[in-house]
Amino acid sequence: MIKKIRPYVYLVPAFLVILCVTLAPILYSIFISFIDLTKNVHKLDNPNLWSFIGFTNYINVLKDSVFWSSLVRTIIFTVVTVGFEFILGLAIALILNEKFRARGLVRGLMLIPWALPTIVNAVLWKWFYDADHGTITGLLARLGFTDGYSNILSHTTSALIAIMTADIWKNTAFVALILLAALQSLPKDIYEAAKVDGVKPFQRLFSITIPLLAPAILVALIIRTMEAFKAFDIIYIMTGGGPGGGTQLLSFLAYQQSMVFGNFSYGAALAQIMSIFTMIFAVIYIRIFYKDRG
Amino acid sequence: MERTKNQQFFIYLGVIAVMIFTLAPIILLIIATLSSGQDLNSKTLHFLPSHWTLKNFTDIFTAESNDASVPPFMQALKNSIIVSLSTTFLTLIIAILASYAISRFRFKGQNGLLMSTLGFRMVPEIALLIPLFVIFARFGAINNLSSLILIYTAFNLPFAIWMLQGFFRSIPKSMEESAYLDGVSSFGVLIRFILPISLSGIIATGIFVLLASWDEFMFASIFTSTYDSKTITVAISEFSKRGMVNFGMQITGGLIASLPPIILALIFQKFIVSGLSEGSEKG
Repeated sequence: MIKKIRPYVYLVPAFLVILCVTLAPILYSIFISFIDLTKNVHKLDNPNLWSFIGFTNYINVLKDSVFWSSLVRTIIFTVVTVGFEFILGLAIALILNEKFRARGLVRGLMLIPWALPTIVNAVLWKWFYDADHGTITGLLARLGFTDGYSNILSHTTSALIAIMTADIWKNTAFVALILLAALQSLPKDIYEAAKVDGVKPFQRLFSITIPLLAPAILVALIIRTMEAFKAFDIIYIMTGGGPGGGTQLLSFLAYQQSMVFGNFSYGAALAQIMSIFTMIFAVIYIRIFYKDRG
Repeated sequence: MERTKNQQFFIYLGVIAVMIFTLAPIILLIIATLSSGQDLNSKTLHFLPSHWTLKNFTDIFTAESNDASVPPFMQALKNSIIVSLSTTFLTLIIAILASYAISRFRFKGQNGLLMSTLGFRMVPEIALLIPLFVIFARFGAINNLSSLILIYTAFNLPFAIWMLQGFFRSIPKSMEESAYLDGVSSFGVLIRFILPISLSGIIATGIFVLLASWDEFMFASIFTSTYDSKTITVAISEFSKRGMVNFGMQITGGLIASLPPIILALIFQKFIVSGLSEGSEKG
């Protein structure tokens, strides 16, 4: 009998914390998304004031053009940043996997962008893009790309590109670190055999290295896609969703609606919709992953 | 593999390009923190300051005494240290117990439990921010570091359990079995065998949790509005919130806030890389 309950005893603390601070809030959030809760949270104290309005909040979100433009922008942001991070990260990992002097030091330095807090990264790049004193603004003007100093963060397209660049710089290091760790654990004899068989370096990359790296690539892509899809900090600091909502991403929209405007129910409904998207990603990725592994 | 001179040249060219890509923003950041306000606010493109100064570093710790709208940086630093260390400690203890059960015992609902930890890891934070804010606001538990610690612990648990149960599973069971025959309790086995052997995995997991709680901003910005409770990420964001952006203070605060995670990452480099590769193998 004791043996039967023993594993559950070890699980109790974790279960309690996740139940109270994750599971219950998720259910509560679903509840909030079906009532009309705006501004005053103390309305919840009195059950008579809970007015269940069914799917109205969800319909409001889906009818809102701001939601759709934010969704499209979030997808663009996710695809572009994760795409660049993967290509650059793979290239860096392949270079750092070669033999060269001070290799340990160089690999160690790759940890810096990864360890740099996202908020600091956002502040740093916001300063690079500053309309009057920014290094990048100045560089673009000097090189003749812009006609004098321009306000990069005040135009929708350039602001989005600027934010994506900042995100790509930081997170490329993460992808590079994961892929480098995986590259180091690959069996060396396959490469020797390929060399004997006269396989060209470029072919080696696509026919040996990338297939062997597939599990690590997938993990890096899953983690980065999830993170990019819910990007918040970098938007909050660099543009606050502006100009004119032009860099509004879904997480920021949900935050703004609930925490700034007090539309908790709209925010909750939007957050549930985001969760559904995240679950779809997860299922797709896991399907591919397990299919590859057989 | 032997390389020709030509290939060597391209490898070094690649390494130099990688270093420039990685370090240029960091070097510009360090130089900027050592520049005077005049240099930072000049409209000419220059990479080195006209004169070097530590004024930004002294300013950031004293500014609040001249201007009440500036969050006290020292207090924020202290709050962040308390929150991230407590979160890491609490998360590790709870996750070690849970991972031990998952990796060592057979029980009903084991697989479902493991899958659901993965699921909880993927919930967007915003989906939890709204209900947690509503709940904590009603109970008046805002501006309380304990609330933040509890929330961060809950966030990091699924990830920590997932990592640790992987490390625990890779330990052979033979030693434990003889210990059980000698009458050692299951808790004794955890303390005497599992913990020492998996120490590197526990350190790696702890560092990931520590950095995640040090970096967190969205919850901290909502759950802390008094100077006594603001964390360092919130303080940095507010150096810009006043009408005029004080870049000198913002990037200097940013550099100081980056030092603990960067130093930790460099010291524990081996653990982090092994943690990342473990993670990439086990998903």
